[in-house]
Amino acid sequence: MAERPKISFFLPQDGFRRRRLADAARILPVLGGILMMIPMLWGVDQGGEADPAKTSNAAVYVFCVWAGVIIAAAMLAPFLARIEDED
Amino acid sequence: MVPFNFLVAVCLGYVAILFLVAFWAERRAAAGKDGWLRSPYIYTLSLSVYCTAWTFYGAVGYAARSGLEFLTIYLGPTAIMIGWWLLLRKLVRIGQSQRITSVADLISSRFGKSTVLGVIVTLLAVVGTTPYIALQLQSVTLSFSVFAAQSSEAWTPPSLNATALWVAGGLAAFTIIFGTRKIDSNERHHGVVMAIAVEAVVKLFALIAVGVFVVWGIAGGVGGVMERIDASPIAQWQVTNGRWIGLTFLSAAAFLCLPRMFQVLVVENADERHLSTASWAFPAYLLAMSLFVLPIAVIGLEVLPAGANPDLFVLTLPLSMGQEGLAMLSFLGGFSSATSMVIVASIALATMVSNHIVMPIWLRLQPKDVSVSGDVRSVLIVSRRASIAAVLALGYMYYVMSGGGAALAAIGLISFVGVAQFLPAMLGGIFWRGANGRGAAVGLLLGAAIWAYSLFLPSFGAGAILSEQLLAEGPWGVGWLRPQALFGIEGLDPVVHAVLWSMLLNTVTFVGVSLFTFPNALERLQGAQFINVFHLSRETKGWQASRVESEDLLIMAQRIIGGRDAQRLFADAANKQGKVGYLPDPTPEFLEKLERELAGSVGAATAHAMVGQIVGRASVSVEDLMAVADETQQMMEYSNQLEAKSDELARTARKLREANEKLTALSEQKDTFLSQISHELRTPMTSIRAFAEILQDPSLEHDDTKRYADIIFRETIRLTRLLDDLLDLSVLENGTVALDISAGDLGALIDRSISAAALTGRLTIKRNPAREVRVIETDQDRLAQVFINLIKNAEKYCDADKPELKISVRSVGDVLQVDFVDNGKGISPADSEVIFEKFSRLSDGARAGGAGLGLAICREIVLNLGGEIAYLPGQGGGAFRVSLPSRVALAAE
Repeated sequence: MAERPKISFFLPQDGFRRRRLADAARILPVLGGILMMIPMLWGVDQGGEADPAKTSNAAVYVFCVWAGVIIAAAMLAPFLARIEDED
Repeated sequence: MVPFNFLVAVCLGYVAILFLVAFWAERRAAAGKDGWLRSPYIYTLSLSVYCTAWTFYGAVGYAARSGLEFLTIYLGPTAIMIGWWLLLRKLVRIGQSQRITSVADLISSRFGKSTVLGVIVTLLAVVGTTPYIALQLQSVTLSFSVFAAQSSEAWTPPSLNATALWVAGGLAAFTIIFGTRKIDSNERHHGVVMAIAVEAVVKLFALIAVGVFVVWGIAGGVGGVMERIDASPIAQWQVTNGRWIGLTFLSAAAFLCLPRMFQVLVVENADERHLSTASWAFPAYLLAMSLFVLPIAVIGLEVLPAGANPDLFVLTLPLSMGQEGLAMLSFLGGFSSATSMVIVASIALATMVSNHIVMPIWLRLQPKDVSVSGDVRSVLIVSRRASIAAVLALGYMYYVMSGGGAALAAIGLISFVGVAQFLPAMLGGIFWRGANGRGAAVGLLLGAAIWAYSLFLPSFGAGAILSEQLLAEGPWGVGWLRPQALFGIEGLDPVVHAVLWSMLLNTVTFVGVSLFTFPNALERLQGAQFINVFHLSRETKGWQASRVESEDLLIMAQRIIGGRDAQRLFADAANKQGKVGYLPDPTPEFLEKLERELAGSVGAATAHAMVGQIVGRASVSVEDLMAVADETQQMMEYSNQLEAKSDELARTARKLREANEKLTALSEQKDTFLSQISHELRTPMTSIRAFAEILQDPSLEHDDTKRYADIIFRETIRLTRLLDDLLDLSVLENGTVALDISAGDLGALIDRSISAAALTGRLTIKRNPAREVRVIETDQDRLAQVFINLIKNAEKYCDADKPELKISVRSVGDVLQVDFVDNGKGISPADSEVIFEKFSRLSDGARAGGAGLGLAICREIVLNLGGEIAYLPGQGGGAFRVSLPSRVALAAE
């Protein structure tokens, strides 16, 4: 089935594809939100035994997730714009 | 060392460039060459008014104090942009279809074009934004003072207040020139947008330049920066969960609700598709803006003396390293951030103030005669310009009065909480039909009150407005009313505390009041329009036709949108109604269109009120709504009828097409028939003529004469038979044959047929006489003719060595079946379809004698007798089945 011609994915009548793309557009912010909530588990220095996360590592994590979400959005955007056109 | 004059010159030069860019963009747009100006990337860059001086300078200071927490300010807008499909898309579509001019107009328009709501939102926006404008002025003056402090030359800068005054004045001039060129807020401010886009590039470039210098120039690369972060005072993650979530939510809400953001996101949006590009490009811009914030903060903490203001690291760090050019660039970056925010915010606020406060008051003051008097257009322009000046003056006064201290630096988040109060009404308005204006007003007022009480007023410091005693013990000593510990819950961060209680109570009262009160008719109409914006393109029919003078309307429209545009609008409408001239009938449709056009200039509420003054009725009643619904119902019924009729027409057309095809086929068949018949007749005629000629030869011998005469005789017989067959067929086909029905024994009939067939004896016939004993009531002679033909055919065409014909009889219910099966090779399926046609020739050409009419005649006879004849495939040879009713119904007669 991988041989399916690529163009057929985005034909106007391909309503199923379009709806799934719109679903992806809705899921992406939720996914990003969950990933961005993970820092809440790192804890704050309260004199406890567990050390809080290092800022340098935290920054790498946050910026990587951020960039990943942006790239995903950029890949979705052209297709969503096409759906918009057809509306 | 930077001389003061040089600094001022650079600043003025930069402003001059901005003026030129704005002029150039306006000129191009006016010339219709605005394709490039409408690019999605310009739109994305214009969104960068979100990044003010507070984020340009303040983010580093923020990071130096609390580590990564500053990211929340960027993550909120990122979430909104990434999730554009859910929310922004709808917001922008509504903004375009309803010609929304500001966030106040959105809320007022949604809730029945309410003037009260417009006023509430406008006032709250002014209160929330003015301190923010003051903050921008402060940042610019502070950055000036940095250069002053560095300067060896003892230039005494004019007092900071004077600097702020100059900046405010310059901004007011720029904004008035480029921000009020168009009265219709829905028309784009190309000059302003273009200037902001340029500033967006400058501030991003400046911050990245400083960042690159810090990382690779001071820290020695990425690894070095990481080590220094680990060694710095902010090495550990120190963001509390409440602030991480609370501030992200807050920045997301503010991104939607801030008047300046609404202006660039929705009002200045030229094309909905730009959102899809901005959805990733703007988060990418934000990421780039924040990438170097942490390194700059860490290096600043390390390199600069302990008392240095971290809010100015972006400037002081390059200066302390002797990088004056870089510092200058960074100064321009901060200057850009501040000015773009102030320009857009003051345009947005001025639109709101003039549309929702000045215009309603002005309208109220007008004498209540039929037409609106006075030049509305000039009133609008003056009020816009005055509002811009007033907003900037307010900002300046706030700056002076607050003393430009640390209290101002905290105002960014406080301002966010204030405007975030619009969020419940905004979201409820576009997603929930049940939301109503009373709920929105009560929620907004309560939220704003809590914000002021728990965050805004205390921010001036204990004792400034709220007394220390009140802050510590609550009003009248009521502990659970303490501004920063409402309901006795202590220990919350003040901002999170205010966000929590104000948003919660705002939402709860908004929903609660909406549940228990009823919206008026116009609110319901507008609600349906907003919520179904993707499905409903029809406009609200809020107006009922009444005796309005179109001329009055034209006079009013000319005063608001200008003579040329108004006349064009009216002429178009008249044209559409099939009238000539400039005065269309004041139909509800036309009134709606007119109102919407006016709303683009003065806001929905004012436009509604102005049309209402002339039309004489300011709002629709429930009866009107019912009338509209009735009309819709009638239209739907009518369209259903039309649909049914068109179905019927399609059916008729299909039938006609079929009939036509049949006629064409018949005509072709007739042509074929004629050509074949001529051919069949000519063959014997040719030989007769030839032999007749030979017979004329007197020298012919007697034997030959006799032989040739014989041939002629046989050919005439053949001709006669052909003609007989033809006649027979024509009689049968016309159904005019006279049938001679009588009862007889089937076996006897078959006997007679076999003997009449005059077989040569080559063919063996197999029968089961016992089964043939049954009486059949039919035309005996005609049926015999069919049987004879079938038997003769079998003899003629059966190509087996020992030809056999099996005749079997069977009755199925009332139907008698007589099968004639031979043991030859039969007929191919393709041929079996045509053998009953006249003159059909089998493809192998095995036609011996006869004109090919036999089976056609058989078929006609059997049909006339009420039965049918068919070729039976798969019987191991040629097989025909004759099915007959045992008693002929004389239907033909």
